[in-house]
Amino acid sequence: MAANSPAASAGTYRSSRWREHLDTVLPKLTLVPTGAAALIFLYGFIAWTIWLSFTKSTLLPNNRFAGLAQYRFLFKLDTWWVSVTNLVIFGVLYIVICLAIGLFLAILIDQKIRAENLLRTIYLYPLALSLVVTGVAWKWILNPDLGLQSVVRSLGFTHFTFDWLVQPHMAIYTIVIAAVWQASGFVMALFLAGLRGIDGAIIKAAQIDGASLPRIYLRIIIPSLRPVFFSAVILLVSMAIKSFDLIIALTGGGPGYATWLPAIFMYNYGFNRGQIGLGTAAAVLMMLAVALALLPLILSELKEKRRASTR
Amino acid sequence: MLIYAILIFAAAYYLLPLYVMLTTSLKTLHQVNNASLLSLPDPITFKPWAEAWSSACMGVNCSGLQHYFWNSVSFVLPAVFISTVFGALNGYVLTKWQFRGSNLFFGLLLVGTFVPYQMFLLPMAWTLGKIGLSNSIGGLVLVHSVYGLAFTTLFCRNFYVSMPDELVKAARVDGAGFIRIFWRIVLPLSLPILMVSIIWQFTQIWNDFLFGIVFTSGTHQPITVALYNMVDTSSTGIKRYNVDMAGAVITALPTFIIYILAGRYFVRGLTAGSVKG
Amino acid sequence: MSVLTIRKINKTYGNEAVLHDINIDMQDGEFLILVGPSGCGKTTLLNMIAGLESVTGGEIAIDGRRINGLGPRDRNIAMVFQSYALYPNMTVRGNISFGLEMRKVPRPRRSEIVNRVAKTLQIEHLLDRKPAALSGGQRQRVAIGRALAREPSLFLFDEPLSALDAKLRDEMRTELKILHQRLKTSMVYVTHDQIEAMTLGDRIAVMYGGRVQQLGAPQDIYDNPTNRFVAGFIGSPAMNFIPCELAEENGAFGVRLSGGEETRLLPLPDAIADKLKSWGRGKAVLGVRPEHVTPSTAEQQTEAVSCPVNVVEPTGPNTYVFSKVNDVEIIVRCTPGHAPEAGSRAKLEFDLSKALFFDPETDDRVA
Repeated sequence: MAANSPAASAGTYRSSRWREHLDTVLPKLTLVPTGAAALIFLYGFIAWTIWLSFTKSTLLPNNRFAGLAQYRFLFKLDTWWVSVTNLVIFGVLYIVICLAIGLFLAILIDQKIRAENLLRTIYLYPLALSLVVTGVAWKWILNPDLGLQSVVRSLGFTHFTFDWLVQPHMAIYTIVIAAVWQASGFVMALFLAGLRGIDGAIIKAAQIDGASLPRIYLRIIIPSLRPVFFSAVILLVSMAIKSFDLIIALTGGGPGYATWLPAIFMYNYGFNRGQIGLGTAAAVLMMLAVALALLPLILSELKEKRRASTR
Repeated sequence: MLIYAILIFAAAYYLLPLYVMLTTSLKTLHQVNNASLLSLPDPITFKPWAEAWSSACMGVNCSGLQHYFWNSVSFVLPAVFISTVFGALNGYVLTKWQFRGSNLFFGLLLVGTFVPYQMFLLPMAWTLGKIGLSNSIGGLVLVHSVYGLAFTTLFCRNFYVSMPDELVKAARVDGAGFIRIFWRIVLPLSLPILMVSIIWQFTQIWNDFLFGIVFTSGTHQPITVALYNMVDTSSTGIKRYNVDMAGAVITALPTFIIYILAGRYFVRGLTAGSVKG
Repeated sequence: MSVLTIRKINKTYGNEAVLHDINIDMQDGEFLILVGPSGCGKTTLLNMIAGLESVTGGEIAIDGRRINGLGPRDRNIAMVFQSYALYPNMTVRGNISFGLEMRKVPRPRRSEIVNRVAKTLQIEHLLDRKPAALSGGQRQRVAIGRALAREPSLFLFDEPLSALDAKLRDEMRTELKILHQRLKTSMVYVTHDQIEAMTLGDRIAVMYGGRVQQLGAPQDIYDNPTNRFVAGFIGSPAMNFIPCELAEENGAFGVRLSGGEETRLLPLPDAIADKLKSWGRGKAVLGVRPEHVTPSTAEQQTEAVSCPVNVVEPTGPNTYVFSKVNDVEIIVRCTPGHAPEAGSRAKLEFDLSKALFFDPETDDRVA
C-alpha cells in the first residue's frame, strides 16, 4: 500500500529531501523574530545605553564623547548617594525580612494545617496586585492624619506617633513595610514548595535518631532548602534594584528626595530633567549592581553543585 | 493552637490593606474624614466607585478611569497573545528541534530576565519615536511583547523539556513535519503551560507602570498611570481617599479576579520563573 | 531479497566516534536483534535506520533503495518506542490512524485499517479510550498497532518491553514472537536484555563499543562466541572466565586448575589442544558455562578439582553454587538434589569438550 514503485522513486526522493530541508530550516526560522528582537531590543539597547552614558547627551541623545565625565558628575551628586544608601537599606531589610517571614510562615503551613489553601491564597494575593495599587493603599493606611496613627490614638494611646511617611529619615522604612507585604507571601510559596519536595523519610530517620523537631529543622530541613534560598534571593535582589512603581505611588520619592532609589534617579534625570547622559550612567550602574549581586551567588551555587556531584 | 494564632494574625496583616481599600471605597467622604480607618462603611455608598470610573480628574481631564481601563485592555491582550505564541514556539524549537547553538540562544535570551528595564528606556523611547509608535497603544504592545519573550520562552522551554522526545520522534516516523507536530501533538498538550504564561504575562503587563509612564502620556496612558495621576491630582485639593481607593480596587480587579480563579497557575508561573538559575 | 542493507555505517558526534563500520544485511521477514549494553550504539543505529539521526558515513538501503538523507516519513518504516510515545491527546483510534492521516489515506480506508489492526491485537474495545486510561500492556499493544497500521517494509522496535514489569514482559515477548510468526514482517529489535535477544531473534547482532562483535543465529552465538565480550554477554548466569596456565605433562596437553588446595592438570580434547598448541602461548583465559561444570558424584574422580563451596543459591529449577578456581569466583549450575552444602568442599568436573579459550590480552577467542 505504502510501497513506492521504483519509477516514482526519483521524484519522491527529491520531494522528500525538500521536506527534510524544510524541517531543518523552519525551526531556525521560527526563532528569527525572537532572535532579532533580542539582538536589537536587548543587546543593541544595552550597548546603546552604555554608549550614551559616555556621551554629553542632555535633552536629546548625541554622540559627543565625554569619557567618564557623566559618572564623575554623578558621583558628586547628593541625590545619587541618597539613592544608593536607600537602596542598600531597603534592599537588605526587604530581602532579610521577606526571607524570614516567608520561611517562618512556610514552616508553619507545612505542619499539616487546616484551611491551608485559604491561608496560602491570602498570603499570596498581594503579588497579583499592581505595585501602584499597593502604594496607593499603604499611602492611605500610613498617612498620619487619618491612618493607623489615628486608629491607635483613638484606642486611648493619645501620644502614639507613627508618621514615618512624612519623616525624611524614616520614609524609606514605609517602603520596606509595603514591599514586604507585597512579596513575602511569594517567598512563603517558594519555601513551601521546597519543603514539600523534601523526602519525608529523612525526617522520620532523624526522629528515630532522636532529634527534636526544632533541631531537625535547623540541622536538616533548612540547610536542604539552600536552592530555594538561592532562587528567592536572586528574585528579591532583582526586584529590589528595579523598585520604582511602589516608591512613586507611596512617597513620590519624598519627602524631598529622601526616598529616591537609583531607578527613581534614573527616571528623573533621564526623562524629567533632560540629563540623558546622567540617566544612562545611573542605568548602567544599576545593571552592574544586579550583576555584582547575582554573580557571586550564581558562582557559589555552581561551585556547590560541582562539589555535590564530585562527592 | 499557637500555630493557628500566628497564622491568623499573619492573614490579618495581609488582608488589612484589602479590607481598608474596600471599606474606604464604600464610605462617604464625611465618614472617611471623621470615622476610624477600620470602621465599616455606614451608610454604604457606591458613589466613589462611580466617580472613580467616570468622573474623577487626572490633572485637568475629568473623565474617570474608564477610558484608561479600556486602554490597558487594548494593549494587554495583544501583548499577552504575541509573547505567549512566540514563547511556545521558541520553547518547542529549543527542546524538540535543537540545533548547534540553540542552547546558547536560550542562554542569551535569559539575560533579558535579569537586566533592569532602565537599560532599555532611553533607546526605546527614541526608537518608538522614529518608527511612529511613541505615545501609542501599538508602542506598548511592542514593548511588552518584546520584554515578555524571555519569560514566556523560559516557561515553555522548561515545560517542553519534560515532554518525552519520543512523542516527536513517533510523529516524525508517522509522517508529520515541524508544523503539524506542533499543531497536532505539542500544542494540545500545552494547555497548563499556556495558562501559566498567559496569566503571568497578563499580570505583569496589566500591572506595569514604568513603561506606561515613560512611553505614553495624556489619553494613551494605561490604567496604572491614570490611577497614579488621579491620586496625585486629588491630593492637591481635598483628599478624596474613598475615590482613590475605589480607583485602586478597579485597577486591581482584573488581576485579582484572575488570581482568585486561576491562582494555581499563577503560583506555578512564579515557581517556574524562579528556577531559572 | 534483502529488506535492509547497512554498509560501512559510521557515526561521529563531534570528534567522538560512536559507530564504526557497521555491516548488516537483513532478509525479508527476518527478526533481527541488536543487543548490547547501554552505550554500545544500538539505539543510535536504530535511529539512523529510522532517519531520526543523520548518517556520518556509509550507506543504508531499505528494499534496495538508498535512503540516506530521506526523512523518517519517506523510509517506509514504522517504529515502536520504549515509552510507547502514544499521543496523550488522541484516542487509541486517533493514535493508530494518525500515520495514515499524515499519508493522506482516505477516511473510510483508514477506519477499515484501524479495525483490522485492532482485531489482530484484540484491542477493539479500547479504541475510544485515551492512552492515560490504558494499562501498560494495553499501551504496548496500541503502540504496536500504530506501527502495524502502516504496513511498512520494516518495523523498528526500541526496547519496547523494558518499561513493563517482569511477568507482563514475558507475556508480551511471547505475543511478539507469535505476531512475527503470523505476519512474517521484517523487524529490527533493539534490547539490552540477552534473554529477549535469544528468545525472539532469528539472528542477533551483539554490539559493543560501537561495533558489531558478532552477527549470527542465537544458538550459534551461544555456542561459538567470537570473543570474550560476546561469550560473557550472552547467557545467564554469565560464562565463567578463569585465567589459567596451559601445559603438557606426560604427553597430555591440558589446563592447570586449582581450587585452593592441590593444582590439577585437566587434559583437553585433541581438537582444542591442537588449536592451542598452534597458538603457542602458555597462558589463556578458560571460558566455561555454569552448566558445563558439575559437582562430581563419584567419590574418587581424578578429572575433578576440589573447590570450596562459598554460597549456594536455590532458584527452583536450578541451584547455583559459587565457588573459587584459580582465585576467581565461578558459578556452577546444579540440579537441586545434587547441590553441595555451603561451607563444604566439592569436587567439580569441568566439561572441557565445551570449553572455550580466549587470549588474555586481546580477548579474542583462540580455541
